[in-house]
Amino acid sequence: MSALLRYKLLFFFGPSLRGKWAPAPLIALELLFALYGFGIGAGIHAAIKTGSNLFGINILGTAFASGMSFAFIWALGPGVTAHASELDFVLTSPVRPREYLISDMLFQFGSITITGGLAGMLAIAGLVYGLPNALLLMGELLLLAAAFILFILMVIQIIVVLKIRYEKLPVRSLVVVLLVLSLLPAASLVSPDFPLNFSGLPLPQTGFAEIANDLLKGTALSANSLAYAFGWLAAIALSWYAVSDDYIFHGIRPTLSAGFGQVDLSQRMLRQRRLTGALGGLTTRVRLRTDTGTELGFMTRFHLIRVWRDGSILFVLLLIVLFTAPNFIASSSSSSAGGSVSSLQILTLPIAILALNWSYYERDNLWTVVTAGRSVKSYFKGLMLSMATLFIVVSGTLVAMLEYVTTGSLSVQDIIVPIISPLFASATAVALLTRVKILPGAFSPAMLLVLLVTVAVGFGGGFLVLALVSASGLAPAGMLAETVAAAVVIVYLAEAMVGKLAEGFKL
Amino acid sequence: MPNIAVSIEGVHKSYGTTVQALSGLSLAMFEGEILGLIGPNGAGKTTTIKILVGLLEADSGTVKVLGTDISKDHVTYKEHLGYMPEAPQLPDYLTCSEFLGYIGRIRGLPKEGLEARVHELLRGFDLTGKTNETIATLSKGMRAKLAYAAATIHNPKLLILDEPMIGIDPAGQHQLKERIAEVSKAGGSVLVSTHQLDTAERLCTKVAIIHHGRNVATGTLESLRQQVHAGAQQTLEEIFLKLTEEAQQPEIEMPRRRGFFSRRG
Repeated sequence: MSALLRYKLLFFFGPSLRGKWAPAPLIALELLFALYGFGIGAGIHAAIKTGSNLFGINILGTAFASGMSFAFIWALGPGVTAHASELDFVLTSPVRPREYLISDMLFQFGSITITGGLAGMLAIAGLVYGLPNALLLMGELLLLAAAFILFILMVIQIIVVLKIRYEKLPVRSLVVVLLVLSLLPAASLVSPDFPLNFSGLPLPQTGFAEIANDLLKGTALSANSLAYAFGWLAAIALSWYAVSDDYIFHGIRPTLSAGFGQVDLSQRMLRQRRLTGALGGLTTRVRLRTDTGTELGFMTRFHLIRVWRDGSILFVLLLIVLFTAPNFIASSSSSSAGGSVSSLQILTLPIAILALNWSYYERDNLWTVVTAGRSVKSYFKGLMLSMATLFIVVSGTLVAMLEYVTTGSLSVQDIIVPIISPLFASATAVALLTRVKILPGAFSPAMLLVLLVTVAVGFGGGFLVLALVSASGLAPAGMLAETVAAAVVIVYLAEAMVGKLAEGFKL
Repeated sequence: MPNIAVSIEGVHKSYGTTVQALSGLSLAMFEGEILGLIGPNGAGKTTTIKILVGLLEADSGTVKVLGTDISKDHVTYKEHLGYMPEAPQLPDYLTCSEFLGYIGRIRGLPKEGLEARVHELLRGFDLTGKTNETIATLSKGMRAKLAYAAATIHNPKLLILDEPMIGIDPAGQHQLKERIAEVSKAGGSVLVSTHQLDTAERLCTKVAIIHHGRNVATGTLESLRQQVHAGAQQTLEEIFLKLTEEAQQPEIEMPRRRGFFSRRG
């Protein structure tokens, strides 16, 4: 078992610990997410501090329910990690299924701890910041988090065993129902009149949320919450023990095709192709008209269709929900949305991720343009405009939603950064893509360059324009006009820059 | 005498310092010909093709396509060029009609009439049923047909195909061969790289045998037979093996001047 665990860990983390730059990029990425972890923790802390007990339980219940929903989604897929060579050499050797599942559980627990541990710790630090006995509290919350992770890992494995052993039972449908039900009470955060909320429901996430809430508020732990949380934990542990030695090796599929930070292009292309094929019936309802529009407009529409069809948009929406949820939670108990709106510049990160996605999946399709004797200028300009359009629409929607959930109203300055940052970030990302080829290795410096520079220029550009507009001291209408003018100038200059850089593009 | 469609003279191309892909390759192809580029793995066929379509640059030598020196004008000549790569990467998220429309737009075809051209190609390749389905749902053979349709959407004067038959079923191969022959009959030229010698024998008007980055022999099957003193019954495969074996004979080692530190003996 330990040999198998070591093999999995070496395979997964080995690539990011080898190489010229290792492990610097891994650490840089951890730090980037760690800062965000602290932000989430601090946001939830602020909301709990000012809100009622019920509100605190609902926020924390939503956080735990999100963890469970990820577990359900993972369990609907492979659920268990396996490298192709494990299928050939490990699963054909006399290894007990329970041994295999334990090694996989430890591997998944270890991977979560190594990759997200720092961010998680800082999120908890953000939660307890300023509270009495903060260090002790942090330790208790870490233990609670570890117990919850163990709980969801066991749930995943139980679902995997049931899926494989009882093929005829509607296990998948049941998991989808559980996924929806587990998240349903979270609706009470947005609409307090919603009949369901986490408090009082005999759900595992409620138990864990009530314990966390009691710890944060310094009140005695209730017997009910302890019974919910640990009762569920015990029940799931017993169930896991009961099914974990059932033979499931015939249903295990290779899932671990690349190490942490690595991209196995052939596998990912296959997955992407399957996803595109599966979504086709729905996504092809929005058509790409090829017989109309200017060249630039056509290319912009082409890229918008691409992210709509290839699943990138789903990924981006998931990230946006993840990134903005703490803002919404914090704002729902606040009378001002200004700070939360400014923090929407975090949306520059999905722009960088979309750029990486283009580099991995779409770059090779450029042979069609390069061999056609046409310039790739319009292609790249269209890519930039599609990203900017997409994220301005997303920012605008989120700003409108924040305005709705808070009682205060937004000023012109509040909306400058969400409008301007995507423009700077899109231009930077596409400019880099014309020059930088990202190989699907583990954490290449080129990948980090795109990630960090896009985010930094997006941030910096947004705040620079905010500072300039604020310094003008004009009335709100004047500031709005200045912002629109700045946006037009930025797009004009960015188009010129991207066009110039695209001239020297080499496939 | 027809005009020269492709002229390659003394082209060298290396990858890094260790891999010499082309070592002074020279080749000529006339308009209306179907030239088969054949050679063992690593001979330099794909490198040659990528240089012709502008995806690679030669280190030295001259390459002219349809009369244009492509090192002087990298772009204009491509208007008359159609290219189908080996294992073509296609945008899986587009439907078949959208993809052909997209290529049509990139190729600068007039917007009016583009839809009709797209449907004509889809019909011609039995892909009408897949018009509004994403490329992700196509089989390997259908993807190859679609890529061929994209390469010919603008009726190119020169069609360059890199291993076009790989992964296609016999019926599909037959259909593709007919299409290639039609291009030639209409006055166009086709350069096709292939491993399938029987295909080359039946389809191509001329073949060029590439080995170790050099052109070992070019000509019609008959002229190659004469070159290796082969009988009329000998197949291209036998001629190919003979020519590549000859090219593989170790050169007679010339006596080297002894260096100051060289060991005696």
